[in-house]
Amino acid sequence: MVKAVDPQSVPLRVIAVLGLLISVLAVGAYRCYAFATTAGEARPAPAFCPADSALSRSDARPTVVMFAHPECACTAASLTELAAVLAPFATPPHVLIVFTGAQDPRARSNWVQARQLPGVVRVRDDGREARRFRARTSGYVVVYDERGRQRFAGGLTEARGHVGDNMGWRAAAAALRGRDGEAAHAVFGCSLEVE
Amino acid sequence: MPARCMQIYDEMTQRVHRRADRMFCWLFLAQWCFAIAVAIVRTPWTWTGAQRSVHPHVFAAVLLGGTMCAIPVVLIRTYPGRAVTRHVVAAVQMLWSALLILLMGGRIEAHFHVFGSLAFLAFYRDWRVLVTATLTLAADHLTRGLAWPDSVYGVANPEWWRFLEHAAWVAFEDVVLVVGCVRATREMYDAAIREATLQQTALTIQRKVENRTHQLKDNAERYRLLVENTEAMPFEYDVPTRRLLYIAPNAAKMLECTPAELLADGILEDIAHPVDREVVRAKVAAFVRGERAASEPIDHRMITKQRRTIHVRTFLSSCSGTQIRGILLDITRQVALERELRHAQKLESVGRIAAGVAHEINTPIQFVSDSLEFTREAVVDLLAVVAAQQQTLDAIRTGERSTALSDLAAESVARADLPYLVAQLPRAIDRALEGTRRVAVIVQSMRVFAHDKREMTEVDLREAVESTLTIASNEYKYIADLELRLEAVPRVTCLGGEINQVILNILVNAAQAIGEVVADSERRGKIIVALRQVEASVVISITDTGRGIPEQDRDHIFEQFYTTKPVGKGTGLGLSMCRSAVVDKHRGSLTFETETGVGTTFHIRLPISQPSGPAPSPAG
Repeated sequence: MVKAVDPQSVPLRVIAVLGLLISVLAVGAYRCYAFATTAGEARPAPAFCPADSALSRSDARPTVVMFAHPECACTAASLTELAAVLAPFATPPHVLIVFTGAQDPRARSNWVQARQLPGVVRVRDDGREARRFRARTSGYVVVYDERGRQRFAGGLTEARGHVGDNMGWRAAAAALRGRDGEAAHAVFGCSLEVE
Repeated sequence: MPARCMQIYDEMTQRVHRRADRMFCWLFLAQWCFAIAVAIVRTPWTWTGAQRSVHPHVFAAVLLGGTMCAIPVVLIRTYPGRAVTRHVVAAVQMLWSALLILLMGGRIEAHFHVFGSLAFLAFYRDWRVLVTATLTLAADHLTRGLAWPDSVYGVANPEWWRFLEHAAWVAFEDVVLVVGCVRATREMYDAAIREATLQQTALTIQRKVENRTHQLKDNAERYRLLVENTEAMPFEYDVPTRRLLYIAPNAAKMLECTPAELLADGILEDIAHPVDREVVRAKVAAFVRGERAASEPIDHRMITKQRRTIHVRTFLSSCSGTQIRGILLDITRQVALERELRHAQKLESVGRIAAGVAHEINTPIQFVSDSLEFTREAVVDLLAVVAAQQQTLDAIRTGERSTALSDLAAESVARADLPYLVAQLPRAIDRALEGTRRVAVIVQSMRVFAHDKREMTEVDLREAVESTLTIASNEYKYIADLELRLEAVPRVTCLGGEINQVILNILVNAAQAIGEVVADSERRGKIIVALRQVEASVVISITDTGRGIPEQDRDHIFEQFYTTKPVGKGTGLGLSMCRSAVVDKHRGSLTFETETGVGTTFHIRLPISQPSGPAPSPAG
């Protein structure tokens, strides 16, 4: 006896394979999500700009210090967001981007991207400045006002390497305008590996 | 028709779906490669200080991208064209948007992939696929919007209606694409109707062609059977090359050779009878020049491969350029039959002549016999008188006187009725002589009539007419009076026997025509036989006072086997033979004038001398 076969029907084994692949898809998507949304290590930044720092601070303008790994892909998003934060200011704040690490950052992508930002000072750091400012993760930003008080410390992105409006970005922008807001935000980026 | 239309429509949609499947197969592979390239270029490594490791995005591109490539590609390869395949393709394609947005760091430009994907999905021309894609997109937005809104909307705390905004933009494109899909589907359905109509028309035409082809095959087979099984043999002949281009296969059988031999060069030179060859060639040339009617047959002879002579009749039907077409008929049996019939006709004539001659000779023989009987008795009586006289004379010489002897002599004289004998005996002898003379005339007439020479000689037509009238007198003398208007004419070169036969036939016909009119009555008809010279010809005219030839018979009386006489009285060959003898053999003419109820006159015109040149064919 011949069984009638529905031409549109799909065999069970195919459905099983599809199910397996969809499961892999779901797990992979979750892992991506987890990787992107897991914040890096962060410690409370100094309440005042460290006096022993070799980094120059402005008394006339707020000072922004960003610590960046020269090759961290996530930091590119942080630099993009920093540019967005600085863009509205007619007189931009004093911005220092500190490239931390043993290697020479000058040929690296983040160094090149940072050059596009107006008034930005790029600084090489062997790790001492990062330690002074307690920076542990690339993309870490500290905002000081004209008197050297810390107004914001944290990241400018909502996930690793992900651009877009977020609370960190808004808090930093508010701090630069002297408004009260979130003083801290999680940092998403590569580890600077500073003891 | 609707069923066929739906079948065509299904086939067309199936082709569209399969084509879109194949396109997506390549698109998925391209997207996979692109995703890996983006990951490697943008995020190759993740760092921990100076230590680096492969960035998870590279793994995501390779593994997640590979999975999102494998799922639809497996289905496309396994179940191309199926609904489940394209719906899975639609869902996965929208997930590709999410992956690419992730790999490109949430760049707003990467979101355009969603709209591009929807446009690509529209290639399926199935609006349901767009619904699946939209629902997948909505589910993705809903899930990520709740868990990680920044990855979807680019902001950390979107408004609650941001989801609807995105959905609205997608729906906006969906509307355009769905309308496009519906229109495309409708066009496909219209195209299916047109194709079904065309196919139906083509099928109808094909059936007609098949029927026609079948009919043509039947006709061709029927024609072949007809050609191969009939006595008529169609042929096509090229005059300049003297080649047969085509001839029916049974011609080979007739000519005792193979069909291939018949189509060889110069075959006609071999098979044409040497005597008839030039005549036939001249007639064919005349036909090609349009000087000879198509209906006029050519009777001639052919020589088979076994050197046997056969008689054929050729009908030339059409001529295109130098190629002529016609039909060949084997008339050998017919010719033999006609010969037998002619012989029978002659035998009939002979029988008729024999009866007439017997009757004609019987009368003089009778009175010759009577006269001789009278003479014999008279001689006996005279001898008795002579004997009595001799005895009386002997007695007188011896001196014996005897009254008895003188009485005996006187008695014998008286018994012999000597005066009567003296008066009648010479007359009896004259009658006997007259009788033998009349018999001699008849015999002479028969000899002249028979004229057994087969070649043309100079003939005295007056003598021929008189002889024929003599031996045929028994046919007409009881019913008609004969009037002769025979003028002196030169001797004519002809076949005497044939011409005598012609005169006899026409004379007998005249007598029979008169016989029909005067039958069972005391009336007598009249036959007028005239002989005169007209220019270079001699014309014999035989007129009867019969009923005349009926209108409907006038065009047929010279045709073979055409007769108006009762069955058994005529063969239908008499006038046909007359015409053949006069026209074909002597280049003369045989015409007639007739008037219904008055009578008929036949004119036999013969040239005094025959022109030189090839001898006329036996007939035709």
